[in-house]
Amino acid sequence: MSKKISILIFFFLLVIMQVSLLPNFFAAQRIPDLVLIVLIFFSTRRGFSEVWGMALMAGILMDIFSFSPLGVNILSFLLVVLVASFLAQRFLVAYSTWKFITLIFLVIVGTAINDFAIVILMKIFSSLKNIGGSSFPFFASDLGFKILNNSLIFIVIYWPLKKFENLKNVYGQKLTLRNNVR
Amino acid sequence: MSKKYFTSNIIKFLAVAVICFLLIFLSPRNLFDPVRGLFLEIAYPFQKTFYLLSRSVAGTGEFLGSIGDLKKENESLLKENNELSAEIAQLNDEKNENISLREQLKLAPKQKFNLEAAFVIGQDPQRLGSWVMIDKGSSDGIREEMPVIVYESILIGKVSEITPHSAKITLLSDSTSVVNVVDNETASKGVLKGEYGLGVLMDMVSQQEVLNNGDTVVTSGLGSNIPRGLLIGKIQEVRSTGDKLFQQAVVVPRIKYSKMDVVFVIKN
Repeated sequence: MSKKISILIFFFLLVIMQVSLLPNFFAAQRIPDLVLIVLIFFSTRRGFSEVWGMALMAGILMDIFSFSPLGVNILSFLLVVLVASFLAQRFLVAYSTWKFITLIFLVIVGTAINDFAIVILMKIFSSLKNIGGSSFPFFASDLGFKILNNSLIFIVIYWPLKKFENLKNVYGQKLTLRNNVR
Repeated sequence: MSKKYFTSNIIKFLAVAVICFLLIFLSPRNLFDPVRGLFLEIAYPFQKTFYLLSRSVAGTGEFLGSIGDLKKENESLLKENNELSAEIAQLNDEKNENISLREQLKLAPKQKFNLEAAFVIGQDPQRLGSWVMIDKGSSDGIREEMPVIVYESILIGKVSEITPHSAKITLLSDSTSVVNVVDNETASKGVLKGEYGLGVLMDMVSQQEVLNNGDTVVTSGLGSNIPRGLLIGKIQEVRSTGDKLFQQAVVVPRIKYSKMDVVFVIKN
């Protein structure tokens, strides 16, 4: 239970950073998808079955704070996590340089899928509710910049995230040992 | 990877996908809004802190990057200041004349706005909408559909959703934003529409009307609670619609929406 709460708090802070911190450093429509990048990172290391709950939680938070209809970001993140974990199982190798390049590639693919999925779902929502927005362009003219920004952010946060995950795993193991000894 | 593992993942994904489609289809706004309101209330102090912190860091970075341009900008601003001072003097004369004439004709005094100042604490992180969040909400007297301005007379959008301590402002560049406007020089009327966060377009202008590059676009005050005379921007380009029935004008907003710190909500 405490693990789930800590994950919720972690993604809560990530979403707030994406909404309130990053817009001051990046142009509108090129703001990096911090939450998406972290989800892709975890899905390549743990697989879909462990990360789908995180994607669900992150999607709900993102829908809340981006004022999107509930379900849009949830579905988009789940799709990205499914594809990323599938591709990671196929193509991720032990050699660190190739592994890193593959991860960057997954971030690029994940960004494009996320962008496309959100547009499709918003088009469906707009036409169901008969409101403006059903003519959103499928791919934004700034998608290239967004992919670049996502890749750069991934490069910056990759090693800290790796350290954080290793520390968490060690702490988790220590907790388990302590509980077993008791 | 075993087939069983692959299948179970697909099943999980499809189950959640069906639920998500149902949520999108039904869009349970009345059920979801209290939850959203609760999360926004909890997030409010974090959002305000992060936003103000990042604004000061970004501002410092911008200052350091723009040192080279400061001299040129300074000269341009001095020149503009002198021109504006002369214009103010002339406008003061006209203001006094206006007050005098209104008294003589027994007209009501020109409306003074009841403004509520608010800090911007968040922006749209995705590309499909165009909005900002402010740190004032229903407990401060903010209501939906209230117009929002900067610098006393530049319209930037309307309040669209509120919680007790924060509010979402839908900007003019949002695709759902529609405002009745008029060309200040030629009195041509039209409808201002947002273009997916990229800009604003003055649309539905009759072919008989005149629009010129450089004309100022202001609100017309027709059909909504947005007061007349609020500045939008200047016309950059005039063109006809595809069916040649109407004219359109690309309007450059007076202010960059991503660089706002303080906005004012018109409460009356």
